Amino acid sequence: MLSLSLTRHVQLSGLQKALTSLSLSSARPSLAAFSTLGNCQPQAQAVQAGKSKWSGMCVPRREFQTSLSMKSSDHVKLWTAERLVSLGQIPAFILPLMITNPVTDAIFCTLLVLHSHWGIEAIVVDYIRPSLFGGKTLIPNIAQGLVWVFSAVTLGALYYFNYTDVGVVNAIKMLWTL
Amino acid sequence: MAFSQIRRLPLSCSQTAFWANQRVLSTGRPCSALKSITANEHAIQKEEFFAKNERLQRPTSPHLTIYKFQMTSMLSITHRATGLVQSGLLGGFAVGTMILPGTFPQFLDTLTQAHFGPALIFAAKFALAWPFAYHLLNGVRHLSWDMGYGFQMPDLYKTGYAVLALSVVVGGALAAM
Repeated sequence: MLSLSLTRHVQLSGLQKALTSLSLSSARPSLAAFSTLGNCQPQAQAVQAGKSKWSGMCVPRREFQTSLSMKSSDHVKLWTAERLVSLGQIPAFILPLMITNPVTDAIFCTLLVLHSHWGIEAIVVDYIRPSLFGGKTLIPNIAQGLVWVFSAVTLGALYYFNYTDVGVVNAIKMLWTL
Repeated sequence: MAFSQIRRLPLSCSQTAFWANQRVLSTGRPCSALKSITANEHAIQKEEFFAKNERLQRPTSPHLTIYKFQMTSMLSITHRATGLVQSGLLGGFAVGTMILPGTFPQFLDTLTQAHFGPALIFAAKFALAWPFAYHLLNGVRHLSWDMGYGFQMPDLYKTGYAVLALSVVVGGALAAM
């Protein structure tokens, strides 16, 4: 399973590299270029070989940026961390329900807020973007700051609830007895 | 032979030019993407993508209302919506329990004494459980895409309908607990 997934990862790496270069190389913003993702095969040959119409296609590439800041350069690690947290949440729902203690409560809440933070951040970056505000970054920056405030307050308040009350997992269990 | 195969592809002429297939070029058929252009046309084509869209006052992606409603995009938007709603509920719960007087068991006692009927309780639980079930199941679908599986159009629709149906089943089962 692991080796299979690694192989898949290697196959995707061409795409990932292209995506990374999209977001990192905007220091040269007007370089519109046709480049290839992975192996660029002629369309007819791919169809003849019985492959999908989309395999090995050439796509037009234009360099652009989707994030406000170019300072953070480790998008691949962040992307991987986001996926690992998402995957880790599946056992992190089951385990705390079976073994409910302050540690599993804390794991449950931490992963939940991490995932929620990255999710909201993605939505805010997508929909509250500078181009909607005349290219000015003030409101998008404030919105992204508010996401951090929301996540920090939520995590703090959840820890507080775990410490002073029955704990989040017990609260869910009790609510479900209604 | 090769040409007839190419002609069957649902591609526009300009798209065909992207493939830069030698056989397309050697057919001798005129292709609009290859015609000569004036200097003015060239300047317009060189215009920066975003600048051009701004000049034409085009809406830019991501956008919620300009696209045709499709099952796949609706599921994607629902994924974000269920995530956002659950994040809001989580934040509201966290801050609410901190601000409001009384402990959680006291709050539950109040709810119990209100004697909501079983139907209302099931509905309330389903309203909490379905977004959870949907986001979880569709999240697994997303993770499989991240591993490189399930990108074919028929697969996208199959897994989409499966997630939708399963989410109702799982949500209902959770609500009935």
